[in-house]
Amino acid sequence: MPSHPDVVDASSSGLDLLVAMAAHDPSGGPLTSARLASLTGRDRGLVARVVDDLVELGLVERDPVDRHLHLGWGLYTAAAQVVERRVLTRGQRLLEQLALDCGESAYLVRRRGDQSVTIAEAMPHVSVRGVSWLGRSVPLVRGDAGPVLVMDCSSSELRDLLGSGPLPASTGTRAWRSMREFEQQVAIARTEGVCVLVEQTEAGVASVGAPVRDFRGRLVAALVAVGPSDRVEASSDRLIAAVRAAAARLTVDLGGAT
Amino acid sequence: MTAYTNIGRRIELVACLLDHEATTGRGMGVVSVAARVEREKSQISRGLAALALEGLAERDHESLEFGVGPTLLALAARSGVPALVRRSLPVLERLGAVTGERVDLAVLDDGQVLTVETVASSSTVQSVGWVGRRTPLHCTASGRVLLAALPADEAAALIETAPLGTSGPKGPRTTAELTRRVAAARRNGWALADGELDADVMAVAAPITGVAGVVAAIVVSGPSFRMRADSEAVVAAARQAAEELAMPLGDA
Repeated sequence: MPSHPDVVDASSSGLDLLVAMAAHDPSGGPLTSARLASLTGRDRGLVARVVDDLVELGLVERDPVDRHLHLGWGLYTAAAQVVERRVLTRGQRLLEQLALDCGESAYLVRRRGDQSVTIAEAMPHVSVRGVSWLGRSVPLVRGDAGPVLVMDCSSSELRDLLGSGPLPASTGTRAWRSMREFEQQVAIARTEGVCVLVEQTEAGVASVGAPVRDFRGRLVAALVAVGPSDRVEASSDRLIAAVRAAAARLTVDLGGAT
Repeated sequence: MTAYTNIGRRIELVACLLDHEATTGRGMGVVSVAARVEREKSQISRGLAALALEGLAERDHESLEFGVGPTLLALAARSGVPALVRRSLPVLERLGAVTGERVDLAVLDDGQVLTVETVASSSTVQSVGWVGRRTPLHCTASGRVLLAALPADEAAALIETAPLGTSGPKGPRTTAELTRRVAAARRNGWALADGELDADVMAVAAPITGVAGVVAAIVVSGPSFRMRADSEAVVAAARQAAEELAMPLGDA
């Protein structure tokens, strides 16, 4: 029989084998080539040879002790590295589009310990380019991205991370005065999936932030639009929708579910 | 040169895109994929189009290059030891906060130590480039903990073939010395390596036990001058974190 390696169907890419491996529940018994063949309805000999290929290519691991098959750590770390790259490259592209569409500055912010760090930014007009936030870090409790960046933390994780002492000084006219107030804002961000802050971190400034998640469901960054509070408030529905959409788009690019 | 099955040849394209994007952050065109796997352009073009339909590859609408597709990323979420991946970050973070040093999760992969998670402490620089990093088994604390957990013949084979010449100033110089250090790790339930990989860098590692034995090691590393001052406390903290991440029966 002639082989047609380029016919478009799942059986020629082996996706069914990878999916079966991903779906395998180890408590239901070990995954071997023979078991994989019966799960996918494929020939045992063929599956054994394909599994050898997948191991050789670094996508699948055979346990050194019990010989069981599973999707490998190499796949995991490569995907994690892709996320680290894309959050910057695709993130920058999305920020520029968002800044253009909304006329406000847009930032991508990540958490490092109890700080938030700006990793990418875009301004609506070159002429009004203000002070760059790139690479600068501020305490989570004093940054526009703070509540979004910790919204997946449990309350005990939050306490471990931020302590319970007094908050650092702020120039915001409506700044959180206690950890309790900050935690209330985190709860709102968690429920709404978006965080709108007015005069919180700085007088006259408002922001809209939304979470970006990756293929693991891990919250990897906050996407935040920042502008003068009167303008942000006047167009808040439109801005919220745009920030949500951009964060969702980046989440999809990182393999996350929206 | 391996003779792949037809399916293997298709998946080889996926592995090629994944490796390239992970290391460079860029997609690949048909020509560069064809050059890399040494096959015909027309065949590669059809193969990539088929992979894109399945979501294993994805064509960027701006650069028109192929990169990793959403289906592959979804599969990656089920790779390694998912239960460990899900639970590890808060524990690593807390250990990082307590010790003030970098904390990694590492596994044995293809005869080397592979870093699979990393948490930078406030006193360390950014963590870019640490996940996916491979280091030798023989001159790292993590490697020794992972070697110690292997069946005796597997461990002996890896010890026998270890590239001892590649170690840092205090790395093991002979097979006998390495065997002794692995035995110590097995006896203690933890390992310490000071100046064995890089001069003036110290690491402490403890094994994380899964359903069928050790699945990973938790590693604390930093400058020797800082770590030496409090190494006993670091060992205790690392072991406690490893204990927290140990997986109950059936939870893989």
